[in-house]
Amino acid sequence: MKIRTFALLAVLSGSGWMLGTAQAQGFVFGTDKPKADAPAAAPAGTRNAKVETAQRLLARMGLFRETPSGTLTPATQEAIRAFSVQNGLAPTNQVTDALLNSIRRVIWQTQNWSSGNYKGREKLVDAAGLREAQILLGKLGFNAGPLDGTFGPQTQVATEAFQESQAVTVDGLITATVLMNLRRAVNGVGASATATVRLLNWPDYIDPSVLQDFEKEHNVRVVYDIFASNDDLQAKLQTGKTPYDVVFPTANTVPALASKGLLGKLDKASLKNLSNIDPRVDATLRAWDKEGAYSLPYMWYTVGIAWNPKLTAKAFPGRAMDSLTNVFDPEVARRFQSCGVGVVDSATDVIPLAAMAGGQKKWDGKNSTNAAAQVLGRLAGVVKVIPTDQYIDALATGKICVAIGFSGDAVQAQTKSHGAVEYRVPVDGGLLAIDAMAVPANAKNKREAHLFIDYLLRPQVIAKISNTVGYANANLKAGEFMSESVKSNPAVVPSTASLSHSSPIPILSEQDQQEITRIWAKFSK
Amino acid sequence: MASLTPLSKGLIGLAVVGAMASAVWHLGLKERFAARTETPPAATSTPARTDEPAPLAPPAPATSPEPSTIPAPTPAPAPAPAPAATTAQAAKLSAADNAEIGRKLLDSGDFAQARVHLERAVKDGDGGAACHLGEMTLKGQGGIPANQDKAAALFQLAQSRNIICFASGK
Repeated sequence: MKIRTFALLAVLSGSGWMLGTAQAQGFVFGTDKPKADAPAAAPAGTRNAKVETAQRLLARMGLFRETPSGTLTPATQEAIRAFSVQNGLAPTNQVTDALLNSIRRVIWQTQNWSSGNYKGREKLVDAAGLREAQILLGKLGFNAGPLDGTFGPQTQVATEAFQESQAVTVDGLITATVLMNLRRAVNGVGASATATVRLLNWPDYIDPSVLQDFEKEHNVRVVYDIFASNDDLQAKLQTGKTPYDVVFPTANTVPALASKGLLGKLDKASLKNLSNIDPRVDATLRAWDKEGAYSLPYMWYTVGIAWNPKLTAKAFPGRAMDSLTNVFDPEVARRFQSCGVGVVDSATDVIPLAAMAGGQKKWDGKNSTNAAAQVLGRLAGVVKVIPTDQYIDALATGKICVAIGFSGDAVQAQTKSHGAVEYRVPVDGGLLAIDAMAVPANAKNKREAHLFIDYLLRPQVIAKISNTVGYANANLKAGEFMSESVKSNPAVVPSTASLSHSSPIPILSEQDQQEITRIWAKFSK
Repeated sequence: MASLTPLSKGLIGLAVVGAMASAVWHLGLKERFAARTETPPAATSTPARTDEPAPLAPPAPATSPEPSTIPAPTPAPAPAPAPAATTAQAAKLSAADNAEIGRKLLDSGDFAQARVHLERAVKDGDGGAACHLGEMTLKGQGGIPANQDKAAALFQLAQSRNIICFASGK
């Protein structure tokens, strides 16, 4: 009895205190007065940070298309002008707290952020996760408002402050990655460690316990950030505000990154577990990284065709689904139009496959882009373009019954739909891709970077990641630690026969890139 | 001292019998069986095999292809014809043919002959053969000492010839 009353009193007084503080700070959007005491860790009144926040928020509204840089470029001023005009506000050239508050207010009123409308690959966590995040933010000194498990403005501002304190991408959204980082910041070794290692990876591409265990074992704080696309990765490497130590580029982008001087050569001699790498995968990596000087394999996957057998059998009984023609041949694709036929919105992956379907088995620059353009030209109105963050759900829910896409996404759709989705590398051509590990040229913690890479070369560690993310790894000894369901899933580990149909994802020249962008813009209109 | 129950007497008897059988095996019987198979047994004077036993293809300095029939339940295949003859045969075939024959021999378990054809195919520029030879080098088959670095070089050679040597079911 006594403890209960005491706890009740503590909670009441605690929330009373917190409410009190909230009133003192002013509800974020409610006041027009610029606040001297901004949320805990935001840099005190520096114009750059505010400008960058404004740029980020305006980009989210679609008014600003550059990469947020923190400088008041003409495009930024134009965006601010457009925003002010659109919302009937006095035009301004300065980025003040008042402006930021109005932008946030408009966004909250017009965009559905509280339900996780995030144009990327990660969504907001559920209510339980949100509540846990709010508690953790509070423990770190960032007031997230009431612990109510809903994503409100105060939670968003607190999350932004947390992300700023870690010098990672600031978006203010509580995704699975952010929640993972919050947990580690509170429970992990982090705060007491003297050394840090900063990682930059794709979303949903790590197992949280791997990072936690590394922190503990080496007494090195792990800061984990994500990038949304290969362009995003390059931009982050170039701006170099706070450099990263280990990055995970797709292999076909490694040559360009290396030639731009953005990657450093790996000190392979310092990697004790180097011999665990499967020499076959490592050899394939040299299709892109010629000498293997800059990268090592992390995960590998294929780009092929995923489908819902029940639905496709209804639309086209007896049809063999493991063929590119099911999507790229207009006559066949039309048969699947009723149940939904599509391609994932990734030009650099779909166009090489379209070129293969058009007869160009090997990537050949202009010839391939021409072939692809012809193929895609005949598919207008029949084949849909599915945003990357909707691919998994579209397949899992049956909205789409056949689509070209990544094997890893297909595996996740399989899991979500309890086995209703199949995936194969098409017999008439698929793509083989490797995601690599590399150390940026401007990395500040090269020793810790190599420690972490060496750690990922342990079979138990990489197997844990494979089991969690559903991708195949390149470790000779990881087999015994991988779960049977992942190992034996032909979508994760295709047979040698089906792999023989695939070709390495091509290196695209600048010209190729431009052609592809042009073709895709036309096709995905 | 307590008297022994029948059960305990039986268990002790079993243990003694087991120990004797183990001693007999390690000291004598094992050699009798091993003599029928590939390598002359190393001096197994120690009954307990605490150190790592030699792999199937012992790190032999000589690269001469030994008739490598593996001690297995399957009936031992007929002793391979003299490799010298196979080398001559291989020299007359095209790279692609050698690669194909080598692959078939590999599938059927005739590693020594497979090796001859694959090595010739690799020399003559075949990519797929480099993959298969790399696999053999990785596993130490056909008299090739297991060597990951040499295997890696072969896989990279295949890649330079635009062949992907991927394994499945890792």
